[in-house]
Amino acid sequence: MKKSSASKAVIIRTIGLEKSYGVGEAVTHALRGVDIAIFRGEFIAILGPSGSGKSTFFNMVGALDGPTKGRVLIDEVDIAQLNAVELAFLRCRKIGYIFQTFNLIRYMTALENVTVPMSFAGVTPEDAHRKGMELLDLVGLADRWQHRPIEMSGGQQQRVAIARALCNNPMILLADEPTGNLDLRTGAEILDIMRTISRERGVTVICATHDLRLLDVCDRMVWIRDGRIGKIEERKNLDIRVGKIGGTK
Amino acid sequence: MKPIEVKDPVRLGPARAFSLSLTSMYYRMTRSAITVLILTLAVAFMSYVLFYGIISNDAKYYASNRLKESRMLGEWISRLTAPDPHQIIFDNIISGNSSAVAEYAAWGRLSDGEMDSLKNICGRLRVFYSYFDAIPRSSRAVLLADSDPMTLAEQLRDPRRFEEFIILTGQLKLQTPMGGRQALWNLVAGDLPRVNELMERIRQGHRSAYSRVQKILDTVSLQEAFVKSDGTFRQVLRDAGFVIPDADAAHLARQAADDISIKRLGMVLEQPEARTAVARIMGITQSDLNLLRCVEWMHTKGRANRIASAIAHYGGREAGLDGKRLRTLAEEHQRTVILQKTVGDEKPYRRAGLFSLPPRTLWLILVSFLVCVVGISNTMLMSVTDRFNEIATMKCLGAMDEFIMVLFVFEAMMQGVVGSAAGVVLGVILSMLRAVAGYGGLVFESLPAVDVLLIALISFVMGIAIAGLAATWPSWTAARLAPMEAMRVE
Repeated sequence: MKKSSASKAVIIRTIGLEKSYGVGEAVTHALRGVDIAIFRGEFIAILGPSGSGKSTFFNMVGALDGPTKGRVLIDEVDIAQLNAVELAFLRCRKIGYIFQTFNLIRYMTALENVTVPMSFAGVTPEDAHRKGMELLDLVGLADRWQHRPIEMSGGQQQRVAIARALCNNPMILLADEPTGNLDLRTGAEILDIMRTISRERGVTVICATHDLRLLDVCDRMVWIRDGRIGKIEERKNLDIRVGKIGGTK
Repeated sequence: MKPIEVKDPVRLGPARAFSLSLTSMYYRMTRSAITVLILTLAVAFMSYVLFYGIISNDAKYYASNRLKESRMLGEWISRLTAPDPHQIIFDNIISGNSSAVAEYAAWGRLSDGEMDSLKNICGRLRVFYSYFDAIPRSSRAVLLADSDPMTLAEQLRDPRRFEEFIILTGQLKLQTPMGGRQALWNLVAGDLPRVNELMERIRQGHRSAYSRVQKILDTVSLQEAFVKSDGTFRQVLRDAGFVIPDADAAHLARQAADDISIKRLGMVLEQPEARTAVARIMGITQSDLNLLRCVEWMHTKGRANRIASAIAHYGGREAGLDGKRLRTLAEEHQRTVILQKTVGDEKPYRRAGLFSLPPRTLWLILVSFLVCVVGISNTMLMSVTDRFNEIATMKCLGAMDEFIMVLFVFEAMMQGVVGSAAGVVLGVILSMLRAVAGYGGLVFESLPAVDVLLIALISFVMGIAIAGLAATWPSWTAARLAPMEAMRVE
């Protein structure tokens, strides 16, 4: 498979990553030095209790927020060095984001939401439309392309968000608790879609989560505790059995 | 360090920006409508103050000029029956009224040197008079003691009174007027009598000039002479040193005719039978009837005709007082009343440009402008903070800071176009309503149409500019935040 040959290439590397919020006595250290290398095509689960720093780590890796200390290298490029144009290019073309709160633009239809990043990337409206429909079809929402976020369920909105994240063929898909606001069954469906994308498209997926079902899906899991990496485990070394939901599967 | 390879930078075309803004406004219709409404109100307020400022100023200025015209006959009659008092001569010389100064020179047979010294002394007298405006109120009361600066100046010629005055100013710790005791003494003891003498010469000349005119008039009254206002009468006046400008002759004739008609109506109403008849028509008792009331009452066609037919047998017909004439008199009177009401107590102000308005109006305009800016800024700030999450999402999708600015400022300006247009229209309507309510149809005669259009344009552009600028700052702040920081602001 493609993945095994590419697994040696490092796509994201963090070196001594630290992040603190606030100043003086009110300062909180969200990350206290994280060193990790993530390989191309990997499916990584980032686990940890609330407040452990996994969302902060997610933001650092996704170039959504700058580190206080240390470096983040994406495809061997230090993101602290990038100017506004390069940063926008990175966010638009290289990374796809999925949020716990979906973050669709509420006044746009499903298709318009999916095509926004493509219009930023300079894709013609016709091509964007075609590609957007393909992606909506991929997540099983082709018939709802005209619906606005408010007319869709949480699971459907998250699927639109996944389609949007994929529209510029990113190398990396970042998901921050994608199933956090969904019920068990829809959560499972979303994880299913993400696993399919990871396997079929060779996209590197980094997923911060509480959801232990993810362990069944990922290649490696990274446990973060108090702003540091607690442990890293390979999926194949782990013997877990995930319960089935609702009698399906 | 390896650089990133940007093959194809992110972009946002104008067409796409336009359609994104439209979609956003269409979907958030209620919110947009509120924003537009606030914009409308703000611009309406600002333009209303501006419109009303110039409309009412021009109406007042226009009315004061018309009023001056309507007083022309009275002024001429007083000039042809009594010499100008010292006060008026003084005012005319100080204000540099050149035609009056020329007349004075002719009447008083003043040489150029005498006229110059008269001007010079009047100037210094004014300095002396204004000394009393500059000192504290209590000191003024002590120094003037119920009198006025002019009378005081006359009194100071008495050396004892002069000494008292100098001592008083010393006790009050004031400077001596005119910069010193000697200068003051020269003014009151030397110059003031000289001025009085020159002014008396002018008055004497004036008196003989109009008596020459009156001699020629013989049996005809001044008013009748003015009604004719033919070449001979004007020539007589010119020979005596009074020049009627061509533009005023027609006015004077009409006013004199009205004056005569009113007098005749008064004479008719002095007859008891005519009084009874008119009082019955007006529905009041005879004792309540007077000329003014009658003139006020007969302003409609029906009323004027009824009065005319009632007084026809008592000399009304001979006097030419038919219904039409009476109604004209009533309308003329009404108009004068409206003009007086319009002018009010304020000094009429002649605008030299669009914003050369009295300071009070300018203050009001400034305040309304600030209210407009604050109102619009607040609305824009709210509509941006409302959408922080959207901004953060857009940035995650690869939007540059500028894209967000463009979208928001563009949207704000489109709202500005609609809001400002509506606001200007509302402002015009409101200011015209108020002006018409206050000054009546006069407003349309004095309406500075070009200036109103200019102000409409200025307010419109300002509304759009303020909306755009007001959206710039908050959207710039929001756009520069890192996406996650913006998303945290809820």
